[in-house]
Amino acid sequence: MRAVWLLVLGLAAVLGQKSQSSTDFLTPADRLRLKSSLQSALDSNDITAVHYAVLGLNLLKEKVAKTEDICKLALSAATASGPNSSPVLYHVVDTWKLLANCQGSLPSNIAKDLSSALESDETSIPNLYFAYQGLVSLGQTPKDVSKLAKNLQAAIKKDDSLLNLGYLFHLAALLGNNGKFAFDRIEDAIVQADEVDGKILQFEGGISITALLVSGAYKLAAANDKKPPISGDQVTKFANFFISRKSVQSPKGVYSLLEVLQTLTSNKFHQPAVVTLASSSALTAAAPQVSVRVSDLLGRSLGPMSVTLDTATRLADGVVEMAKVNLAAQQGDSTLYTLDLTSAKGKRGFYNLALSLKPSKPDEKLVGLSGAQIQVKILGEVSVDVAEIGTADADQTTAPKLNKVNYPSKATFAIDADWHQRLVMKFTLKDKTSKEPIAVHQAFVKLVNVANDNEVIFVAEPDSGKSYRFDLDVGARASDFQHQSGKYRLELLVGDAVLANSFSWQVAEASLTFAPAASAPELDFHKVYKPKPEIKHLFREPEKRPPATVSTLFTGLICVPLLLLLILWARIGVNISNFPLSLYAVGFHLGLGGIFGLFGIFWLQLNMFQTLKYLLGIGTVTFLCGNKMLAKLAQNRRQR
Amino acid sequence: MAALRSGVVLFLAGFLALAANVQLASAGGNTLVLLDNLVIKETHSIFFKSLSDRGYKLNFKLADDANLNIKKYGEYLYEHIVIFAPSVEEFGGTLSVEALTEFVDDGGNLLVAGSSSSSDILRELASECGFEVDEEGASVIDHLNYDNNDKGKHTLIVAEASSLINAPVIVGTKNIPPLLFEGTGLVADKENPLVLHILTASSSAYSYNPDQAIKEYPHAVGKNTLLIAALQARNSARVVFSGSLFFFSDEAFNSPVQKAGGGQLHKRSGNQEVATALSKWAFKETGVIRVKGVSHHKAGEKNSPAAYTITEDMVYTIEIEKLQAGQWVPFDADDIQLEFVRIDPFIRKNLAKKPGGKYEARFTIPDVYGVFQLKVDYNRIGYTHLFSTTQVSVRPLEHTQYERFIPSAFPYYFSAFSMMAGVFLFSIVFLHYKEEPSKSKKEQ
Repeated sequence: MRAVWLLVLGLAAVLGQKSQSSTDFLTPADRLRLKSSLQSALDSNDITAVHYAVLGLNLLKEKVAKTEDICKLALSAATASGPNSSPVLYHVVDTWKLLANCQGSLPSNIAKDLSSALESDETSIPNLYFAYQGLVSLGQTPKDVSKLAKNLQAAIKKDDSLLNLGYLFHLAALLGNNGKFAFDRIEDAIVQADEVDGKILQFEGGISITALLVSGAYKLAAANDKKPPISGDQVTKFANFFISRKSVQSPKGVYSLLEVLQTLTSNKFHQPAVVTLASSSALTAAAPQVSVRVSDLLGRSLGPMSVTLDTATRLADGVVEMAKVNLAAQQGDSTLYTLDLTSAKGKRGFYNLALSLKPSKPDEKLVGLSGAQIQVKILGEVSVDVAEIGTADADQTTAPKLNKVNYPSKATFAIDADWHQRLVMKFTLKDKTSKEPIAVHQAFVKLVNVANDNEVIFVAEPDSGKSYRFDLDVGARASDFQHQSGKYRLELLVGDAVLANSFSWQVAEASLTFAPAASAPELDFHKVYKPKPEIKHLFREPEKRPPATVSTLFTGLICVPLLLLLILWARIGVNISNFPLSLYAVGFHLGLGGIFGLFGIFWLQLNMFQTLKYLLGIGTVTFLCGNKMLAKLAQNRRQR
Repeated sequence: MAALRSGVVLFLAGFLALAANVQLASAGGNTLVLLDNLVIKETHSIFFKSLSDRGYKLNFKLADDANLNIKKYGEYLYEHIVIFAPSVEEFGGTLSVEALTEFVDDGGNLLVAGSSSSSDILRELASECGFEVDEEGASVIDHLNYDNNDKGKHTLIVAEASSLINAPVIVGTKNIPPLLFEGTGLVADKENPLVLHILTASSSAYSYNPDQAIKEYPHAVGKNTLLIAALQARNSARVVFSGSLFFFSDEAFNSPVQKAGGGQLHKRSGNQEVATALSKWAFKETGVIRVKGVSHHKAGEKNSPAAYTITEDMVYTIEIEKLQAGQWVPFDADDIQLEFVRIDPFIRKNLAKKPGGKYEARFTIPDVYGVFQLKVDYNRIGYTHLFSTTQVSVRPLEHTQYERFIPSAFPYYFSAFSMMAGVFLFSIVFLHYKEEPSKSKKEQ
């Protein structure tokens, strides 16, 4: 049976990277995240971090909590700082001023310290800036501004590092006419920016230094009322950099980001336009519209616009599907515009949408109006056309016997293949709308061992007619399966980035039989990490002994001769009246008895050396006594 | 006077506590962080902050910094190296793949993250550690498990926490939201037991260049695709290799996770938990165990004898500790085994757990004498290799220790003693017998 299934055509749109206008803005979610990271920084013991957190929260128009603790921290930092620490004094003074409700008063020598730092020609440019700002925060005006300007000029000649230039711009912007000399340095600074991938401009040192320089340049330009020497393209690239850094965590970084975004959206020279995709990336056929948001970097409306789709190009073959279409403004939200892509229906693929903006009222400061690019993809639906599965002989003498399987049901017939056979599966994938055979990125056949879930995956290859064939030589592939015969689940995995319905289909269950492996395959290589089986020692079995009755019987028999001797002697009577009453005779017999007794004790407890020691004593006595006694006996006999 | 003394004691106690604190704080050690560019320091700030909060001294350097040096006067300047520089073509200074492998050989720990544009040098480093990184441009693609925020190629994939390796000591709890991964796939030799498959892709995933049609069998397919792999070398040096640098980024830590096609929405991914646990493991904060003490004695005694005799009952006790938050605490496990070895193990026994991290085995020594070893070889996934061996000698029975009264030998005993008794009596009778000739003559 032929399985054709009709499903919806979806359309998904995604954000592209390459763009002339900025591609992202600070969303409310980003603001919330930045806010929470700033609020957690308020607990810091470092007045610098706390000050930047307070500044950042002010920019976000959020309330600062725990002001009393911060006041205490500021006061302690003020008293602890030495005479040279203008930055710390500035942070203290400015925090104090921003909180506005601190009790008590700051040490009186702060103003004096700041003034003396400002007047000294040894002070570095950042410290000059901090000292100046500190005095301003204290409500005092520095006295000799022209001398300060001269000092500044001298200092920047000595060292025109990026950091110095950045603070120079900020400070010069405060000095009015005296700061005019710094305006020419803006160009010097901007040319030092590094370009990355043609999309991003940044200064070496990250977000803080880039933000410092860019916002300083705009402040100085505003003070001089002259357009800064930064092109619209450069502004966009800087904006891209800043917005790509919106995951920044440090309080100084967060403040720098917020401050520079504020500057870029509120200055009177440049206003980068941001074109972003507002609709969800998964659109259904019911709504094949792309929703586009046109806003400033903070997500605010740029006023009424006409947004035009210049071209919609399919990336795979470069065909332009649509061109010169105006996007409809969406009701209720002045930043949203909608594009209907129904006409491109069924033409699967990635598309590049080039958009251009035209404000209803011409506005010179808007940059990034043309060349906004958004990448979308139009999804297609796939259907399995004919799927056949079966076995064939490995030597290819007979045609394979194939049976049809219908998606998405599982084959009901049994498939058995041994090592002389091949497992063959053929299928065709068709686009639901165009009904044409298609090739997909992923067309894999997965075989899963039912017993142990081991999987082996093969790639099904399309022929020129885009008809897929999977051919498994069971015998030759045995090592992939570790020679594990048994039941296998056969699954077909079809997937592609431009398919809305990638699927995994359990086609059939096949029994594969492999030739017995030469050696048992090792399956668990991580065995070294597992406990080993216990080993119990098998003790030697004690030798079998004859029953006690036998030995008892023979013990009795052994005693019989002695007993017999004694009984007979008792019957016939023994006369030992020849026993000489001499010490030697007694000694000899006692000694002989002692030796036998010693042997008995030797058996029971003594060791050989102890026994020999005792034996030596007893033996000597016995020998001497025996000698004497026998001599006497022999003498007696001769006399008779 | 007493007050003064107690003051001094208090002061000393305070000083000691302070010293202990200082020691704990410096537990992290010197760490070299190599980056492609300094932006990575900001985009991965949460991860780096968690490291520095745990006491690591992070030294950020560009990976191609011309002054890179990890060794000075034959001593390493760093205990750990983090390489978050997927696209570095050549390391700067004296640093090279050889220097890094030597660093690992000498016990240093590595944490490396690649990406779909990993450079050859990173690929070379990976293969030194037992992994293969897919070629440049290849990403792990999963058309069935990709995140809603995917950029279109289905390369931002959602990995379930259940596909993490089954070792809480490495990856922490598995009860976390799914993980986000975007990067290249790794494969590891299945037969290499030292390589640990920390995070595997689902069976519908594969690693290939998403912009090219599949012409050859992909480098990694299905569950063989490793997203994160690790190696614990035989010297217990640890290497963690992630195919994705994005995995450790602030963005991945804070992103919501939702599988495309109507999966459950999780407000935050589980990446931060896993990244933190992984860095703790890689830099030997967790999974470090050691032997505190070993003792053995005969059952019923207290001190170790000079030698054991066969078939005696022996009691073996080992005390094991693990490192937890910078402190050594008793280690808790139930699969520690003791082997009683003379060339081959004669006995292998599970040790019984006793309070205070002590493990005990009681067994009867086999009836075989010789020089034996009491061996505890504890090698489990995620833990440093614990190996303790104690030598004892086992001697045969002394001659007095054999059985003395064997029933079947009683005939022999009695024959000997009856012989002796007979000789004793007979000698008396024979020597001193007095014939009575008159009487007998009368009778005749």
